[in-house]
Amino acid sequence: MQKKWRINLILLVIFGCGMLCIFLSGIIPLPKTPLSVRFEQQGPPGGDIVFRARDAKNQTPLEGVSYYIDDTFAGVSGSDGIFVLREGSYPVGTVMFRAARQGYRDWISQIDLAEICSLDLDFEESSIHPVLINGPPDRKIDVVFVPSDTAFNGSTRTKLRYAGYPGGREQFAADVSRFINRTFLASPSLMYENASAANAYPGKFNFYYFWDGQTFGDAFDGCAGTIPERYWEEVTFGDLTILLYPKYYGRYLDPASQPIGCTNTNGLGNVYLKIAADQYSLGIHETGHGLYSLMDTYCGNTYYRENDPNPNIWSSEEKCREDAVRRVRDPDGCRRISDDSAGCRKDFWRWDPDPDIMNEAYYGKFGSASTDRIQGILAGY
Amino acid sequence: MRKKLSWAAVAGVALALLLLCTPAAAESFGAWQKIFIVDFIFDDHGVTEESSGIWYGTAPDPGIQAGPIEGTLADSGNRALTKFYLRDPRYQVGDALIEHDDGTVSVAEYTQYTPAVEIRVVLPYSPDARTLTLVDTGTGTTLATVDMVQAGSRLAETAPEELEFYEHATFVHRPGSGTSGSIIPPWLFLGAGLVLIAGAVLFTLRSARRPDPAGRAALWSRAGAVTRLAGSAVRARAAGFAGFCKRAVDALYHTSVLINFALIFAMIFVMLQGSFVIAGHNGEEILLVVLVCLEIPALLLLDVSLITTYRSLVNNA
Repeated sequence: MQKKWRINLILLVIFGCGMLCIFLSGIIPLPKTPLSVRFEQQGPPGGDIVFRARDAKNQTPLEGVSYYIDDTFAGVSGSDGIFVLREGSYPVGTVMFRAARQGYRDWISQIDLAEICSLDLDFEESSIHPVLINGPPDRKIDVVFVPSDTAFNGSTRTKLRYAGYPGGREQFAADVSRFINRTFLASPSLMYENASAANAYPGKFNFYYFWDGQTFGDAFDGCAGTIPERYWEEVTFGDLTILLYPKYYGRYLDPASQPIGCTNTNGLGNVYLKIAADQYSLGIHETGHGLYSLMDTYCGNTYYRENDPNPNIWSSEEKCREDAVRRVRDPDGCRRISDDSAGCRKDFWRWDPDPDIMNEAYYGKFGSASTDRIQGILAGY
Repeated sequence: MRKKLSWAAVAGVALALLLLCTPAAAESFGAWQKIFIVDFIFDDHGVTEESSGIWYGTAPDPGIQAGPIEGTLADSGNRALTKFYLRDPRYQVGDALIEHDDGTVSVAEYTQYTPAVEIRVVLPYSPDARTLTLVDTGTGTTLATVDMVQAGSRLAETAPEELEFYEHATFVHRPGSGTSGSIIPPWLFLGAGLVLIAGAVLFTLRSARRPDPAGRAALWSRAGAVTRLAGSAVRARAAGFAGFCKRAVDALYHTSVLINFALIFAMIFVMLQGSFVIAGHNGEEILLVVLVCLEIPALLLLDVSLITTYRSLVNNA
């Protein structure tokens, strides 16, 4: 019987080892080469390297792909999509390799070129689609729209979730264009008290939208919603991201009904706001927060701070009056942010006359103080 | 003199056009610049650097935002390379529109305060950068200082995974050139595991065929054509199992469930407890023994159709 137990124990150990092997097969790292490794080219390390660039979608050769090794331009692919890196023209050891083409996603990796004879690169179309480009991203204010697959019904206080943006890319692109035309590109006389200075504003922006068919924000996950990391990986240059959702249904009843627009001043490069696609005036108001750091001028439980330089609210009446005199404005226009009917009173002062878009939110213009701040920012572009 | 000047102007314009037409100029659209990506945790206790590194792309304009937090990217002489301002990221400022019954509309505030948030700062890369500091301009307190020399020497953690590169590219290696990752490929582990398990199971089945001096038995069956069971066959083949009729039957197994690891474990533990396993060639043999011996096992693992047949046979017997 003891012998049988011993045999059974051995069998159990063998069985356990088998299970362990199966477990290990699932967790050990894959070798950093695909299984389709071919040994068709041979030779000592350091020889010519052939790079073949293709469009991932239709597998056609891609001309004009620029190659960079350790940030130095190495060459560009020809009409056959091929670029040959000649023996002796590249450094030994691990390098930072980049292959890039306008309209496509970059290939970036740290690799040892000595290990490679040839490299086939499939380029995926960029998810960033230009709408209106007025210049290089580093010389313009870049506004990027990203779709939300959620909306909200304020009357029933329920979040509506869709399988993507309703109407798909076509509808989203149309909503983006309409929103841009009714906000950023709207007649300066409707938006700014000092319209003459604002005539040149539209040319200072680049507009894009992000669409890969898979990545959607959630406009109703918190005040300003959330945007997936996949978006931020590709959009590094956005001065403002607008999370656009289809519509706010019903009526706002209380905080459980969720805000229609909200701004998240999340560092530098990740600043974003959410807004319904058909809320143009509130969109302009939110842009005041997100792009120009303008403060609300209505009285409520919101965030106030004197937003120097060129503030649109001041932390004392004296500062407001001094600023008004300096800018040749009537100092008597300074008034405390308050709402007697709501019993609200703040220790901040504002100057812009009503209807002030930062006060009413649903109509009005950017007043002189707000426009000074906007002008101060846009003058650099 | 004027003619010489005009020729110089033409030459200048031609040179400018030539420069503009070179590939390097064409690629200088700004899309391939280098950036610093620094992530911070901003909470009620202060600001903590979470990660920092470099990546490729265009940085946002640092001059747009305004706020009480002043950021400075400085060189070794503490000279500012880039200066920017941030608002307190713990506050999200929202707005709602209230439609009143009289048709008027008013705005309502909606402020969300989050005690701890993660923020990201994307800045243009500079090889001269040494430090990045965040200062609360209200109190003059330094909130965070980041070593940008370190940041400049590594890729940002937030960068897309490098593995993606390898998933889409096809390498052609020279024989003997090194590869990173495990030397033993995963499929070898998987194969070895399956062989070991199969060996253990087969050996168990073989040893289980031998008579058990303790006189206890479990019956092991492969899935068989139970429906072919006929009265004459029962009588004809029953003799071959007569020797087992004196033994108690502890368990019946149906081998079609062997792919289930949990059942394999159960089988092995039953055997380790002293049960004896006989492997029948098919379901008929198992059911023959049950019919002939009128023995009902304490544990029965069969698929549904076989269980139904088994029940009806036992009831009829």
